[in-house]
Amino acid sequence: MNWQPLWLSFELALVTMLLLLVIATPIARFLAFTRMRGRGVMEAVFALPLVLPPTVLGYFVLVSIGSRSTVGQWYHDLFGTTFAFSFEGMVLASILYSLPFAVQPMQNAFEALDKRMIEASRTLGLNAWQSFFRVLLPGARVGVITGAVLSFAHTVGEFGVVLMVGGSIPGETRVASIAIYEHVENLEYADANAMALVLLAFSFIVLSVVYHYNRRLSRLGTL
Amino acid sequence: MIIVSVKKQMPDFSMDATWRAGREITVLFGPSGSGKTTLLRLIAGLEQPDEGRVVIAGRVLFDDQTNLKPEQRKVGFVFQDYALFPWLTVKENILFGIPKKNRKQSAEWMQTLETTFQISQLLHKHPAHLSGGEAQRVALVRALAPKPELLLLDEPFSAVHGQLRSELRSFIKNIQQQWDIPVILVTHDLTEAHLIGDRLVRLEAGRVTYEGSVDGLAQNSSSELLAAY
Amino acid sequence: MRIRLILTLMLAPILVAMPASAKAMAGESLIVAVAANFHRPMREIAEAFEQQTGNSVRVVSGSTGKLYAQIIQGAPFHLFFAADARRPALLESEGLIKTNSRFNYVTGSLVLWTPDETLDLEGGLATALNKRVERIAVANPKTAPYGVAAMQALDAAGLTEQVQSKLIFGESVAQAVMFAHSGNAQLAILPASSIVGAGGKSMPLTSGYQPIIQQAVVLKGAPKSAEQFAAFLSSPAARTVLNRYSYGIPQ
Repeated sequence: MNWQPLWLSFELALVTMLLLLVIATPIARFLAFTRMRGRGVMEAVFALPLVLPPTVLGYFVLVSIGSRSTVGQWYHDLFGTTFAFSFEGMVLASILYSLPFAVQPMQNAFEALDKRMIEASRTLGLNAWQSFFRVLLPGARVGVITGAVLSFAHTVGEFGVVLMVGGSIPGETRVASIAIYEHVENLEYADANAMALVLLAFSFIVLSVVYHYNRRLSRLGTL
Repeated sequence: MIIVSVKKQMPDFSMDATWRAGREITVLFGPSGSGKTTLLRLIAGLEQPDEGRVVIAGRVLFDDQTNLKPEQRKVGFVFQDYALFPWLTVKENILFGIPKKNRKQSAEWMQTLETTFQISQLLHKHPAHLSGGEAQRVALVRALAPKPELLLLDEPFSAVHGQLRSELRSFIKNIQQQWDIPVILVTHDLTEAHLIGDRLVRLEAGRVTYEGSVDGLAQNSSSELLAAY
Repeated sequence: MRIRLILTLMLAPILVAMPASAKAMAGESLIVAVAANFHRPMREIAEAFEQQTGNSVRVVSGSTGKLYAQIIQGAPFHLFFAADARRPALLESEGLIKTNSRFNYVTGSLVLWTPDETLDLEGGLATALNKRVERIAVANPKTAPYGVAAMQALDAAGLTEQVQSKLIFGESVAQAVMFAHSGNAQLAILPASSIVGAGGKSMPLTSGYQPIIQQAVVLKGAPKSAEQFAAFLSSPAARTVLNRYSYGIPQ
């Protein structure tokens, strides 16, 4: 039995989560504090990946980064490989796919944070950036961690998007969810069960550990 | 000398106030909705006036050419609900505004603050474990720690009662005298204004209707005031 | 502080993993895209090819339509084994394959299959009328060539109308197999290859539908060994596998 797809799933979810921490926090911060008119429209745009069926989203990503697209050709000229059907392509698709799961808890947490704490930090001599890292992020840490964990879990569980964009290449883009599905397709139920069990157990442990810490963190601030 | 002269138009309110304050305790007094807190926020740079001037001892914080950011103004602000950072200990809250690069100095400075304000036994607690009076004291020390040139207090008495009030009063008076720092304090309680203020600015609907000594206000218009409040 | 620690701990495995995946990228190996119905025989054939030539072969399976879409978008496949002749012909007309590389590799046939050993299949397709058969699984004729053939067979037997309400459609052959294998359908009309090793009971269907011709192509940019692999499909070793999975060998 080949356990490599599990490792790949974990790697993909981790990279996606870390990048989403960087990408989703400013988006969430912007959506939480902007007074611009189009805010509702922008919130809707960032929630769209929730609505699109994964295979459809995957197809759009595939077409927009495939070898016939400008992005795909540009990537090929730069790195000599295709953007689609690579680990990097899957990361891009996963980021899009899991974006709402990262943005929304973070946005809620930012909105719930007492704005006077941010103002207090400014009068104490912090500029907007310092205040972001030293007040907004720690103040909303429970929401930030929840967003990160949800995007991690969501990426581990994704199927349609990676299948379309990644192409299930063994060792490169065949992640656990796809491997399990292919075991089932080939009537290898024992293998499918074994891998699904490990995936579940692993995800359960990761989620419990993080939620446990999250609970302790949130107690620290409010007891 | 502090000069505040600001205009600001808001949807349901307009501010047009000009007044001065010195190295003493100036009380901004007025009914709720008269714009007292907004004035403090304009001084601290948390809100922008449409036009006007804010000057502290010759240093321009705001005029038609200058608009310093809150972090550049050296103005300490104590919020009505303290706005302490709940995930940090009292000590971390107080050190928050002191740059990390001069750690050694800040350790000595922390010592001074500790003894001056008698907060040694609170240092390792989290804000959630403080009483109202303790939290107020910590918020004051936190605002003073970066050595501001002006201290703003928004309704400091609203959450403290009885014995604690007079303690807080003498605490603020002591700070003002020992540090020789101008203090502007917002209250809607005339008794408190009399007990703590050296100078009084009365604000009504965004306009200054009295500026002068605290006693002067009492002699001028005590009957009028009693009728109004 | 604690958050930073957790993040650092989580970051560490990536750094360890990166070289591993980089290595996988660098390896010169054949990537073969294969229609789901041919996945299992393909893995055996690929293994035999690896042993004989020392080349490594990676097998990617999926529905013919999806693999076609991915090839159009530049998927790094070297060979494509479709479930029909249409998609390979399309790829040829789009100039995405090596000249003259399109060939028939197998013809497929249908079987009637049931997970229930006690069900009598002697009557052929008429078993569909048996009261014990509440559901009949077939692959969706809109997407799967074997689904089209199954519907043709029912039409030819004049049964379509009577069994219409019993039919359930799998998104692919594999899903149709799952419906029946799990007992949710008591009968299924499937590619003969798909039920090899599945147990149960089967009966070949020899007439009433157009034979399913499956074609393969060597894609542009594939290394020399790709043509070698295409030729390997007619080797005795490969033929043994094809026979075992009940595929017909085209002339």
